[in-house]
Amino acid sequence: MKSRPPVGAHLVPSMVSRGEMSAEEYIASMFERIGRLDSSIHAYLQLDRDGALSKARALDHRARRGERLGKLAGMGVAVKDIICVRSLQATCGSKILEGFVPPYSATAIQRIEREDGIVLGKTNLDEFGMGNTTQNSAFGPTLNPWDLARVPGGSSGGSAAAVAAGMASVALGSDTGGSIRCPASFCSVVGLKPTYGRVSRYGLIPYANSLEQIGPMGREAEGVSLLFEAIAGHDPQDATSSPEPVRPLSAGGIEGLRVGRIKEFFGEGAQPKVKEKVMDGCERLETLGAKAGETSIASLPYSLAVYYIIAMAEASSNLSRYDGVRYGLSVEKGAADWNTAFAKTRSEGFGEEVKRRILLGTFVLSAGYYEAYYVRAQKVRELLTREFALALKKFDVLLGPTMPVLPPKVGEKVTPLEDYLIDINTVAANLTGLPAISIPCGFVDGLPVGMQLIAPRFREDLLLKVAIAFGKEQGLESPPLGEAA
Amino acid sequence: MDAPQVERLAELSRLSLSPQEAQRLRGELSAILEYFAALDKVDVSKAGPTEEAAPGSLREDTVRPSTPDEILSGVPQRKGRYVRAPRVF
Repeated sequence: MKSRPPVGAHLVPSMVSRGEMSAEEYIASMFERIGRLDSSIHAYLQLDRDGALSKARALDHRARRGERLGKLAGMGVAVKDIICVRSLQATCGSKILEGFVPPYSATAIQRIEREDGIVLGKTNLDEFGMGNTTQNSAFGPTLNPWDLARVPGGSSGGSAAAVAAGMASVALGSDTGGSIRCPASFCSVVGLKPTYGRVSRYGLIPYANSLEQIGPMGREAEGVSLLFEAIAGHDPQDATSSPEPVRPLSAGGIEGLRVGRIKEFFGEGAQPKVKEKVMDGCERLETLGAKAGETSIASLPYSLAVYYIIAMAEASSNLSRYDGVRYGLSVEKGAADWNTAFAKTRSEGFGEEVKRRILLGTFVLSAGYYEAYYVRAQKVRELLTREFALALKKFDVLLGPTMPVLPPKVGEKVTPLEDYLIDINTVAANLTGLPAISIPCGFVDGLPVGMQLIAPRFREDLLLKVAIAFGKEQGLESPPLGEAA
Repeated sequence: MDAPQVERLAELSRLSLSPQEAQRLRGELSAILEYFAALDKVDVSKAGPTEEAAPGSLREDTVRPSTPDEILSGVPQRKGRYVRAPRVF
């Protein structure tokens, strides 16, 4: 049996369409890898082997009859378990959703299936997307395929680990404050957080509605680009999705592209070797024809406080829906009154981090504190948005390290606040709604480093163009999984 | 943040905390709030009212096929086609 899926993900649809490769064999090889590797990585929470193989067989059949297949034909897609897929249990990495099977699929899933992409299963995450390690899951941690003693990042850590280890062609994650880009950086894959409103959030179980987006992940930017084009675009089911047309990727390289290094992204909180690696990445963009310079975003040091205040406020309101009455866990079957039953189910169903965020969110929205925290945070968010808009007048894209640190060790003891601090470079894109991408930029001490690029609203095409050009120059390495590549 | 404050927040949040949990959270929440206080230093006088993202367009409110049986099948406690809830009074 082949140990690695034989081709780049983006080549699969044309090969399957032309009958040069069997979708069934390709998907079966993916499940073979999952069977062999995932007991040590734990990227998946649930697999849909039978469903995926039968869809693949149907595609081969249609290809033989000369039918035209969709743009994702035969690609195996791993789906973060916070995105609804009809008939597959959805857990959000939480005990509170026990037994919940969504009666519908998210718009992003419907669009993937319309283009003949194949859902392989649901991937692990920090509970409700709250974390950057994928260790806060009620179903156990996911480990980093590059070093099983390290975290894969989060919260879309299962999706990142799955594509890094070749256990999926591409994957869907969601990004509220860096949850696609952080694990992409730590697992050496490409992860795109689209512009707010670019991808429908219908069927994405909400954590912080004004910040989050579903986005694509993959080993190579070409596959990420295909998946992005399939899921992007207006959806009547999500009133915040934009009618703005999706820009297709333009041909050509990145000659003359103006790249602005954000000074604050290279601040003292970042590990020196990580900074050097990303500076080196920026220089390599220059050898590809880009023109680099430096810029400053004065309010950036405040972005983390702004982000956590807003995200926690929205979370406390969103998660009030889990009452143990309509779906999910219900621990109190006796004659307790409403509030006691409600509190008991929630206390047993939610993990520590979720409780922390609900409590703080409730605090910043409560009378007497609302103005000082929530309203003030919204104002600083506004300043930050203006500063980014100004910087993006001088530069086409902005650049910095995705994560200021290398992937932390599993079980490393840190306080909640220390844990939040490593999100310092990713949260601004969510607060401003701007699209951002993390692309593999090489290794320090054998551990992946990601380079982040931020573009103007709806210019994912620019980010993907840079990622494709840089990826060709960078080349592709595979994690050491005790096998010949 | 003091102990009664944590207790009040837990009540508002519909969470019941064990004494150890409440004790630990008190320290953690205080440290995080101290970090949030950095925003006091920002001059926000020039920040206008927050620009809310206006919905692009709202869809027509039309009746579409639904799946009530599927939805009801996920309810933890039922009596026929009714959802059973804890008493309110």
